[in-house]
Amino acid sequence: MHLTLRLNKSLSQILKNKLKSPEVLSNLNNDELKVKIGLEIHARILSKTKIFCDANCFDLVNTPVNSNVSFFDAALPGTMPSLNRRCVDASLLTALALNCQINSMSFFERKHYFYADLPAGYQITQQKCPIALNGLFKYPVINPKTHKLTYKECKIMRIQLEHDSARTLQIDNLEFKLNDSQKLPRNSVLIDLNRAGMGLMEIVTGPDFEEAFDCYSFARELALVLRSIGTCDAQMGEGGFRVDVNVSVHQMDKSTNPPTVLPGVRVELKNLSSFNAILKGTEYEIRRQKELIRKKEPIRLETRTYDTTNGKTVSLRSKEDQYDYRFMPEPNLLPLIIHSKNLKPHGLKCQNNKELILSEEYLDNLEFYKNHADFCCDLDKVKEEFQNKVLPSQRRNYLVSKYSMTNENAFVFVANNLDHILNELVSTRNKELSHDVLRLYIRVLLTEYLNQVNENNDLDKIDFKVKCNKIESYVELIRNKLISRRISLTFFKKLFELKNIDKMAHELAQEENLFIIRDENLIKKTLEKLSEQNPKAINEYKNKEKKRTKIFDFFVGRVHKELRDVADPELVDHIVQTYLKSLL
Amino acid sequence: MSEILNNCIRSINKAKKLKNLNILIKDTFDLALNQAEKSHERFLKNTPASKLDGKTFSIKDNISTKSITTTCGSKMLDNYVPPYNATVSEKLLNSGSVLIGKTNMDEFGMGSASSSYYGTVKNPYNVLKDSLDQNLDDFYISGGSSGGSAASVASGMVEFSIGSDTGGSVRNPASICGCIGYKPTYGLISRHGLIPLNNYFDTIGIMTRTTDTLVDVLNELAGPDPKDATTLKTNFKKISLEDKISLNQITIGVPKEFFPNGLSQSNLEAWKHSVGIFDKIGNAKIISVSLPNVTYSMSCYSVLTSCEVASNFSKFDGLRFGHHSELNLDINKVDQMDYNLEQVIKKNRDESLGQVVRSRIATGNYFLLKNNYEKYFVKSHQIKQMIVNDFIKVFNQCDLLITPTCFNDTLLYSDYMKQNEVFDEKDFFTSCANIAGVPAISVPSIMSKNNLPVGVQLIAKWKRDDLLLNIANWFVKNNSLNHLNDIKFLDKF
Repeated sequence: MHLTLRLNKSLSQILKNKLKSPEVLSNLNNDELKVKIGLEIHARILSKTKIFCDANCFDLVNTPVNSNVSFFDAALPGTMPSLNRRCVDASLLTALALNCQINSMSFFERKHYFYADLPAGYQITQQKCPIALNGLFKYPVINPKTHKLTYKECKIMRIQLEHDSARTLQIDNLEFKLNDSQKLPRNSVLIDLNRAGMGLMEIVTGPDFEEAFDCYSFARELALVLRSIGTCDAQMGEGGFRVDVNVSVHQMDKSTNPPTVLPGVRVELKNLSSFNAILKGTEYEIRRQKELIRKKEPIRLETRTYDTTNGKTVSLRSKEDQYDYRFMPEPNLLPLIIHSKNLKPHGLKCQNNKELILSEEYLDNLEFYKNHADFCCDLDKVKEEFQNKVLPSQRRNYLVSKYSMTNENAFVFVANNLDHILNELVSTRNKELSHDVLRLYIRVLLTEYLNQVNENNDLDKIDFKVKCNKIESYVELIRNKLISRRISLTFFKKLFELKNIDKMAHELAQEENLFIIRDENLIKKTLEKLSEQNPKAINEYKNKEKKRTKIFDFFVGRVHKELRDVADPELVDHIVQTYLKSLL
Repeated sequence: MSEILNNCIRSINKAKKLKNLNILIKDTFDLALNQAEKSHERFLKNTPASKLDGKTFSIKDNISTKSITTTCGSKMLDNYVPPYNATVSEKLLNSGSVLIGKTNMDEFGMGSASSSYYGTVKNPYNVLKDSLDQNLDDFYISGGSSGGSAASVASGMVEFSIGSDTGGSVRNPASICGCIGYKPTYGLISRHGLIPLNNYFDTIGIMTRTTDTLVDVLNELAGPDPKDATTLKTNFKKISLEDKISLNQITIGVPKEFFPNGLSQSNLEAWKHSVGIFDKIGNAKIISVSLPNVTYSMSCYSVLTSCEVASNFSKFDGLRFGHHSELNLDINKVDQMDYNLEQVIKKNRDESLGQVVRSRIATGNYFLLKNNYEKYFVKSHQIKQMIVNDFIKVFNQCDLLITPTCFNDTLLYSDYMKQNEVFDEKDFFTSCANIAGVPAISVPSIMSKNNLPVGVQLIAKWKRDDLLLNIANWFVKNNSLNHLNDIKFLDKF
């Protein structure tokens, strides 16, 4: 069975690059260095409105700048935040999916810094007491060499709720039609507040990763999980899923037993625009730090980003002058109480900050609030919702058990949402399928259809049911051998072109006259005509035994060409073979 | 001409006459006449919008009013016109009340003389001493920070005024100007739209000359607001004043911590006089009580308020609204300048924020530094909790506390200027109620030797605003000081 894995391609590319720079591998004894990588993910919560106000959260790409902005987002004086329950529910769902411990009480804080994209001068976030802690996340990794799938684990330190900042538009990049009086000074920045105030979940992992590929695999699986539970659309390009990578390479002190890890310098990679940038940027950064250690040069504490064109990480800013964010509790939001029958109220201790945030009314009426939907979130309800969500691992297990698929194939299926199609076609529509037909469906999805997923930009415009119908009709043609395998890929591609959106496979085949030709007379006639046109080849076939295979292939090819590639390949082979042999 | 229109015109005329007192930062006379007209029509149809329909009022200039400048008495917000109404503004305008103007205040509510970019509010009682037409060299201050509101009520310009109280900003000027100033339980009235000083302590306050109007206004304003998460969640039960109330069963506590050295003679006298009324006329039980931690109120208050100010004022950068030093910037010059965001913000703030405001921002940021946080901020919150506990305990012994409202006699402006304390240690008389979140009211008690009014403060248990207002009502009726309803002394001007 064919496996086309985009991710493996990029990986082997990197491995090749690595081998090209011999100083990296030859001079470093990897045993003496330990790599620690931790990730911070900012996942934008899928919700109708922003986290602290009722401004809309439409997609940023198609919304005119500064149109979905409330007075609160613009930080007009006197405005106050009010918490969006959907954002709390979404973060609880995420916490359940990441096996986190949920704090029965958490609270919000202000993080102060002046920046053009932060209208209030502070961000509302959860520093001391976030909504969830101590999670564990299992993610699949396809070994780049063996192509075998294994599961790895990563600790989740915390999930915290916060709001996004505004977007800065650099004026150099924009063409403005401004008259002279509106002319703006050089280096001006323009601010789009549409993004300001959108809800974010910041997910922080432990420093558990040792390889870039694990980070990459983790990030992809996390994106898939968040999409499955509907808490984040995980679109990296639009900033809906931003991954920051903290990399530090540590030297080992081998004089102790066991060897101790010496302190390293943490470099943060920010603004990584794609999953590939995570992989390549982290790979590069590990190599860069190892190289510096080898040369005994200092590693600077800094924030870097990955330059995709040059394949290097470049410095964004130094972190040496650490900024004091002057955290303090957000006074205008009450503590967030999560209630559950099974949740012990241990979280109410909430470290030492309880007094800071609880009004007398709150303490007095805690019991009342717990049972009151307006003031606390009911975890049991969210759990119920969670039970109805299907996680990627469950989807993979289902594929393996139901269709006897390999783990690796199941991985590709789920990563590309092929399983939805398979389930629709097999389970919903055809209750009883032979083993062979099932294999056929799986093959078609993994080759012809996956090819479309990777190449056809219009694929999303085609309705799910229509897609399924097309695949079904195509498989029907293949199954009944009504179409030549020589044109199957191009035929499939044609089937998914937008102009053919209404046509099923047999209609398309009919219309374009692409049904398989099994007319022996026609093939024979074509062949005879071709042999008349090529007497030299016929002569060579008769006289030069060594050239016979080549000439056989020549005639087979010409016959197919003559018959627009739709003739039955086996039949053509057979007829050509018989014909040529008869000449001897 | 209807009574309502007459009333409105009388208010406007008075405001014009008293212009020298610097009571209003912005008048809304056109709006007022328009509102009065509509109110009059409603009365003709016998469908008044509420009990407040047609009543004149003023709002402190730190409470947002849609399309009407809201300056906080600061150059920073000189040109700021909110695009929305605060919840209280919205409710009052819907109630049919007639807005006369926005009242003067200390810059952002920091101070107790109502002295701002727009001048200093002069105590209406100055008119008893001197002629209004003269430009007075010196004058009695109105207290603050809601001095403009207090003066507008005391002078008879409006029937009620909305102020804000963070550490006594409503009760202090009410005592000094001779009107009623009430600070409700924290969370009873929505703060949405009030430009905050300290979010933990801020409350909307109401100032009136009669308890009846006060209760009508409170009934209109109180209740949960989805726009303010800190409002009390339980539905507000409208308060009604009992005609006959017996004080036999009431115990009134006199806290001994409120006898510090230097308490002025007039305030002590007012206090004794008021206790005497409860004792002699009301036959209430008077006991001595103790709130051991209230003397730490001001340390706690100043640290927490500074921190809150530092944080809340981050948004005053002059970029989206407010004072911008170079709004009409010469592009060609800028290109040569080293012009960056930090410098723009610094310039905007330096040019428009007063000394007191900037020093509070600086100290607040200092307290919030990572290394100082536990030492100052957390500790102050612990003290806050101790004070809350003191109040919980003391209200197991008594129903009501009676204390002086102010520490000093009413100051002349020249004397006030000689003070250079940002926070006065003695302000704990009023600020302890903000720290504990309990309701408090200042009611006029006596006239001093200088013939200036002096108030006394009543404090009730958390969420017992009903009890507080009923007893205040009883007190006002039984106190022989009856100049409150009789403001004719001002009408001669």
